[in-house]
Amino acid sequence: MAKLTVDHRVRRRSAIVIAIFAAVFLVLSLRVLAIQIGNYEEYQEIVNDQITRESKITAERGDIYDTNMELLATNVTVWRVFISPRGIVEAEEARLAALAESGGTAESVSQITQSELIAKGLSEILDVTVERVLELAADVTKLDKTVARNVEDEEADAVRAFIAEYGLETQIYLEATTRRAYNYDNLAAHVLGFTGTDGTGLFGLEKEYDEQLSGQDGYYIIARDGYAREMPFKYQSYIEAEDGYNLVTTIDLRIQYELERQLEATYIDSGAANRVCGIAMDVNTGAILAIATKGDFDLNDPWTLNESSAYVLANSGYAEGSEEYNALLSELRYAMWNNKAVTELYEPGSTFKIITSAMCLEEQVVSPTDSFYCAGSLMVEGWSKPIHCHKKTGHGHVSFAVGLQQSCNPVLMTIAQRLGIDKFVSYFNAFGYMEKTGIDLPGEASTIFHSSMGNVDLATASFGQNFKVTPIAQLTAICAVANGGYLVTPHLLKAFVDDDGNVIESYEDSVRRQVVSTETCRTLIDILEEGVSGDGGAKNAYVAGYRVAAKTGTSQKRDKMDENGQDTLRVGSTVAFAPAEDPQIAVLIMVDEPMNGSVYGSIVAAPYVANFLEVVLPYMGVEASYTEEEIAKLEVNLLDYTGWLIEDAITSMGYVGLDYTVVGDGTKVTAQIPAGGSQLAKNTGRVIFYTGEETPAATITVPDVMGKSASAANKLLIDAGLNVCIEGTQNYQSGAGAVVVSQSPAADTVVTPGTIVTVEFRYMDGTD
Amino acid sequence: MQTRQPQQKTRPAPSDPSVRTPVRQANHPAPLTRKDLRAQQKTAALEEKQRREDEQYVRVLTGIDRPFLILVLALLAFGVVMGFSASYSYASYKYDDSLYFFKRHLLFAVVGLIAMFLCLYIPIRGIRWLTAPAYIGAIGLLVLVLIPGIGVAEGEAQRWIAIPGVGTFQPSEIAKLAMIMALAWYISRYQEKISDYRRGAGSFRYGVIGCGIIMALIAGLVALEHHISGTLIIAMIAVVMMFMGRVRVRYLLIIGGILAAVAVFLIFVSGYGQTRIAVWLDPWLDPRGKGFQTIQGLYAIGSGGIFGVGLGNSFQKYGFVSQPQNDFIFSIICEELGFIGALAVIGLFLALAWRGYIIARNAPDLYSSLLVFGIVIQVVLQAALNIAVVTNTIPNTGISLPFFSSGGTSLVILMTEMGIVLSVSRYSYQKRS
Repeated sequence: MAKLTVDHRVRRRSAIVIAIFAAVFLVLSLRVLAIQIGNYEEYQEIVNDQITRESKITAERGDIYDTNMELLATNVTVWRVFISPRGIVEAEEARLAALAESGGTAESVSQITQSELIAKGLSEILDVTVERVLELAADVTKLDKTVARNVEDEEADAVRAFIAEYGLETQIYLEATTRRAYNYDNLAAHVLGFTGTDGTGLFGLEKEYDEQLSGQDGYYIIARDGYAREMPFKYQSYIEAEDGYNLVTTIDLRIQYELERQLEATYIDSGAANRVCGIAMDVNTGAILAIATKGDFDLNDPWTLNESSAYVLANSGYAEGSEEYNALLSELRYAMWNNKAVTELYEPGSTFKIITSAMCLEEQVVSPTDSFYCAGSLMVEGWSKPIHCHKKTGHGHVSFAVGLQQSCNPVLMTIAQRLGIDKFVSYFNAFGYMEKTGIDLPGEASTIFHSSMGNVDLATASFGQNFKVTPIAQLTAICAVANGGYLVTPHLLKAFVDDDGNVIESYEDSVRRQVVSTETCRTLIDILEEGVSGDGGAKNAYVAGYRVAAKTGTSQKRDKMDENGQDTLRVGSTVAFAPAEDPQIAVLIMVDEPMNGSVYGSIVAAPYVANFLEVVLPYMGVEASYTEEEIAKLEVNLLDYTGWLIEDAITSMGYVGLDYTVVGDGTKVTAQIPAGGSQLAKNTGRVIFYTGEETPAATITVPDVMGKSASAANKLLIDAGLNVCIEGTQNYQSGAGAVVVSQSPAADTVVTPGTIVTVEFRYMDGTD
Repeated sequence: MQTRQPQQKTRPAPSDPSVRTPVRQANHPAPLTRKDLRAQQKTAALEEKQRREDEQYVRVLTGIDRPFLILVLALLAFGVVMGFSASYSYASYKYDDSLYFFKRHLLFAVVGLIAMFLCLYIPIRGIRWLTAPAYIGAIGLLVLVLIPGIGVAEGEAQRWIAIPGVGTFQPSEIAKLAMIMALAWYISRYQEKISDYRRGAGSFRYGVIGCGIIMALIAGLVALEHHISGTLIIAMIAVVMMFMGRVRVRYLLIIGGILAAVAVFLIFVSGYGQTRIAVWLDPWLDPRGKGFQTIQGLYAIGSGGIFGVGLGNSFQKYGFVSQPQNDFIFSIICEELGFIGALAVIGLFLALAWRGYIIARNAPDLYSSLLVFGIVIQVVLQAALNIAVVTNTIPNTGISLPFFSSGGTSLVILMTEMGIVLSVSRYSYQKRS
């Protein structure tokens, strides 16, 4: 009888074991299934990421150009220096092994450790301490620890030499990166803005057009195995970087430079506590030709405070590094970076009278010849006290034109009352004050205006007080008057171009609307021009050879008291446009809280506007046309007569219309005062020729002409045997108010006869 | 058809009422209780059932069990292919020869096949005769490996012996087989005592203490190698064999309970154990260190999905799953062949277990049955633990996947074991057709 010999109970137990295993395998199968279904997509992505290395190809940021393709901002190659702590450890092990082999005596083996050698060497070349490098080198598992960024070529070469000298190829590395470079440091700092360490624009145009400038980064995808070896891989791909567009701005470097020069001058002269700003604009297109704020900062080093901010910080009394210190530092930086012309508000004051006048002339509630009487103040319904004119004694009987030229408040209040609140508000809106101008700069501030306007509000608004606008909004409205009534959009973008100069996108000039008629503007421009060339309040804006329309303004800062709690803080400003017969350029200079003496716009702003226009108008190709009076005062460019026969020199003097004196009895000119190339006034200029043995000798003491009127100063200097060169307002003889505000050389200096004394005139009669 | 008597020495059936310990019978004649009577009746009924079942079988010398052979060859071939696919990147990195592991694997597979076929010529009697030398030899090797200078250490674990020209081998692999042989011999030799559950009949003495000593000698020496997984597997194989050899379940439960308590205690005492548990529960605690292999293995499994990325297309074998030809090869199989491939591997092992069970069940005697079952259990247990580790179902511990993991001598030993199983299969009882 055949039978299974293994006991059935053993067999049953075996079967149980097998069943348990079957169950275990079932569980494990489910576990695998759970992972493969539940985590499939997630893990697949991780696995793909692990094997592929995505190398970024950084798109090159576009350059920024001025309107004439002068390069303003570009990129330069700099180096990132980094060490490989792991490489250092390996080299150190090799060194110790070599040292042990030689019994610690070999001269070829360095006696100091690798990290010490590297720390010492790098600290001598780069701006980094030995301790810092040692600290970085201590992170021994890492392959890449940055020692310094933005290392310039010179230092990078020194690092390379150091690597070569000690054979540190596996310990120290250099990587090429780029840094944003601004060719003109402080120039147009606020408008260009700057980029952060990651290359994104933080302020100004760099921020506004960050997307277009930065372009599209590319990628290079390669497969690397876990041992960091490159491997053939079917998904390998290369996506080209698209470099950013180059930005061509409407800024004209030459005009920008001149505006900044004048702003810097008034910033220093006036001691403005709250900075100064200026804008120059093409009246017909709204293109910003120049826009600047002073004090400013260096675009290549934007995080460092400028002098005045650093002074505030140093005198704050906070300990360096304390929380308050850092908070103040940050606050001062942001204040410094702020583009005053766009992001800050001010009360436009009397410059707004142009706008009030435009409204009233358009609505024909006034004509230039209408007669008014100014008693020095005016009672307005709804206000218990009289509202004063800046001239407390009153302007007496004046026409509207003269009233505006003299900046008479009662005249403006009167015509505004005639216009009425509703029309005033609708024109105020029409001039664009209640909307953003749309300038392509970040952070444009919005106007603060009466939510519901009363009679008294109307009266104060008529002369530009009790509301706040940005300088750019104010100049945009002025442009509407200058260009015949059209409200344009101020802008900085001229075009985007690629590296080959192809235009990708160019700015389409946009006229928003016509606000007032061309006739109204013409009437108003003539009145304003007369205020400059005649005896108006804007005399200091006069530019010989050009007809300039201008209006000055001085506004009270009603929301801020000075340190004594007094209402003395002012904003002095001037707006101007020229040439009056066909306005091309409008300019605004605003001085916030002048502290040195005069606070009036006619003094802290108008002369600088004139100086600006004097340079810029010829540059823009606007032809000068002089009046007879102006021609008489024209200056002659003096030749160098040295070596000429004295007869010839005397003949030449007759042609150019200059007086002369001959010293000595030689036949040839051996020396002359003033030197060749000097400018001499036609009628009063005198040249001293030295002949024979005679040489120039200092014999004349320069008289003090400060504070003297034009005629008095002229007489004093010429009688002393000196020549005179006049700066500042050019129509100094047409009014009695202009006085000398500076002279050079200073009084009591002893000079040779015929030396040119430069004097600057300015009207100091404090017209608002 | 030729029939043969079992090789087992003739002994009365354990349930035979005449079998009593003579001393006990003389001094204390045990009275037959009602309980005993019921047990006798139950036993008689079961015996009758077994007799009827047994009558359907005839013992024939037919030659080896073909399904088992096919399963072994399938696993071996599958293992060589996957081993090559998983290893070539690491091989080219480590040895600058992408065929390095493949050539070794192939070589040892061939040597293993030869060893397997040689085993077919060893009769069961011969294998049994080898039990004592094998066990003593294994102990000797385990002692030898602990001697510095002979044993090769890798880290803290010292578990390899170098054979010049061949490589290294782990004595613990041989020790497992030796212990299986020893337990099979011992349990079958003292089967009546082990299965006599009456008080004082020796079930505890022989079933627990005797088996325990055989296991503990080997397990203890392996533990001294700091070979936790090896110790664990040896203990588990022993427990399974004891269970099959009819050691009382309650004893096994108590032993299991004590062992579990000790294990838990040891884990919580040692910082090393705690770290392992913590990393098991959340491998992302240390993604670049202790959790790295587990995480990368999971990534490999998960990214395979149902159908896999295709044979040879694994990304994870390129240096992410560390040593992909070794313990974590299952993750590469899952990645390349997906759930289908994983199911194939698991299915093959399960089929192997099933066929092994059939061979054991139909074995000519208890000894060969235990021997076959022990060997088969060792293989599937290792496979199950390996897959459990790779899927992070249990804490990570070094357990290789039989047939797949690259391991030189261990493959030869494995194939030898398969040869033993096949050898036994020749003496199987076959169901009457």
